[in-house]
Amino acid sequence: MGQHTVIPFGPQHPVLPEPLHLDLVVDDEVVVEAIPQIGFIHRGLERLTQTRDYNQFIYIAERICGICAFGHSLGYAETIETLMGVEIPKRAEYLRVILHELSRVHSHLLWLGLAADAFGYESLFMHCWRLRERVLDVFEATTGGRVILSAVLVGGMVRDQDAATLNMMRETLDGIKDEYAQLCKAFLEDSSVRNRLVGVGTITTEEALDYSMVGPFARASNVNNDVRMLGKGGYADLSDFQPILETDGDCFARAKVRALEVLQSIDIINEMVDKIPDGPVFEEVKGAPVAGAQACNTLEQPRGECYYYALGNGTKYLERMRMRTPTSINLAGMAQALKGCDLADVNMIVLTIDPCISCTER
Amino acid sequence: MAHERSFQDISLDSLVSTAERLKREGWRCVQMLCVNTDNGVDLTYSFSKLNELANYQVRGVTQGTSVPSIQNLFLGIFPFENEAKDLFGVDIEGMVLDFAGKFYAVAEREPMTILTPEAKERKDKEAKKAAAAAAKAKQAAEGGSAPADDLEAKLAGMDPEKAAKVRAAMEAKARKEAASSAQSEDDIEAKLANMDPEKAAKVRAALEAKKAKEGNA
Repeated sequence: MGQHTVIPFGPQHPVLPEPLHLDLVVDDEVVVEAIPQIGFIHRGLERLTQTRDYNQFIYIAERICGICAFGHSLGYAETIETLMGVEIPKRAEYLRVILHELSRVHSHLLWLGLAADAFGYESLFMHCWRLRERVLDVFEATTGGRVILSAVLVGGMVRDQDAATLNMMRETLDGIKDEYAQLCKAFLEDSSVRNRLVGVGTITTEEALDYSMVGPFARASNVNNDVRMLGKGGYADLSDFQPILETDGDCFARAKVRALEVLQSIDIINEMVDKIPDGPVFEEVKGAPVAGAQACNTLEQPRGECYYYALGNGTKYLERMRMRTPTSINLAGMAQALKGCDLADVNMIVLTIDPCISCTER
Repeated sequence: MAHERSFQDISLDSLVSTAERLKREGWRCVQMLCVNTDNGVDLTYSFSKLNELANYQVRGVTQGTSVPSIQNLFLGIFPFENEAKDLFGVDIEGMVLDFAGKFYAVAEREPMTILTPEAKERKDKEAKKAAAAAAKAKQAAEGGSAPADDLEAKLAGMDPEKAAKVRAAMEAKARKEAASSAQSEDDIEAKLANMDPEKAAKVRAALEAKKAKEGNA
């Protein structure tokens, strides 16, 4: 048996877009234990409820993360609407689902590109990001922003989308879908991808439940906890929604779940565009949350379930706002997936969790 | 499938037994959060199973009270327990992964327990408003008192400098109102002088009757 050595991994590493540090305890080339550490970019965003009222705070919420910006503003708005007992117009609910699923498409395409880059498939990486650019163009055409959309308000949406814009969105997505089907084939059938990912960093269903894992990371281990199943808002009107599950629990299964979720999201958007009802998209919310009133909410972000909590104090300023992001609850599962892996596989395993540290630290 | 969310208070002593029961029943841990209150820190532990989201709340954990860690049951909670220690100063005991107060690189100790000046001012104002409302309700229950007495009682409880300013402002307001009333009487007299004498006499009588009525009231 070789001597144990501790190898620091991150916070700056070619495979990490954000600062995550791991102490890898290795025995020769095998990882015996991995201890994660974050804390380099804590911004104290939750404390800003002291200086921003509940309407202003939505702009803080969407700056938690550049990739899930829309999701955070949506999750926050839904929580405050629950706290204040507000019902928003049906058309706004549909528009929220459309933009949220579009965010999932852009997030998964970004991740698939990063994964392809990490295992050395440069052309696949470029094609994924080329398609993602077209999604960002749709964001720009519909909201004016490519990353921070500022499209949601407590009470509905900032602006409506006319039929021509919704048609343009649909046509763009149909075009993307055809091209993406070819990329998907490369991801799911190419031997070089399978050789690199199959059997790496396996997490069993029992382990996934034990570590309370969420999102595609959990669904790749056959854990069915997709929040969209609960049918909140526009999701309630979907004709059929079945979460994408895999049973192998390895890096390939995680990539496959995300790859197939892109197609599923495009189908959801098309269905919402077909069914969207006429009517207003905003209902003005007046007053302040009652002192001591509390509400919690969950939302399926691209990386998994996100938990939101709000506590009122009788003023327009919240007493407490909490956002628990998917990566923070997935860190323990990630450490488990790294146990016993080859040192060369650490980067792929870390990447297949799709860690977002700016979300985690807030 | 409707999403069922619940909040339930539990005691600190029953935290571990509750977590053990939930673990046995197949719940997963969602998160833990802290709320800073006047009576200490409130802890909320959230667990989920199928469409249920249950929040268990431990109220008023004061400085020096140890909170048992549940990481041995739900390791996924380690970032939140360390966060509670770093940002709120909650003493969590028996953590599997304990970063000893160095989980986050923060510029000040326990930053979530510190109020910004704006928040403190707002909180003080709300507390004063609540105290005044309570005092008013108490007076009403005891039979009430004259508004002037009420005002004097309020001024007596104030900072003397502030009370003097309030008194000066009220005197100025009274003077302004008296001047405005005199001006109004002059205007009416001018209007009556231009009226038909019979009609003017009727208006005068009505005004005097109104004045007498207000005086009696």
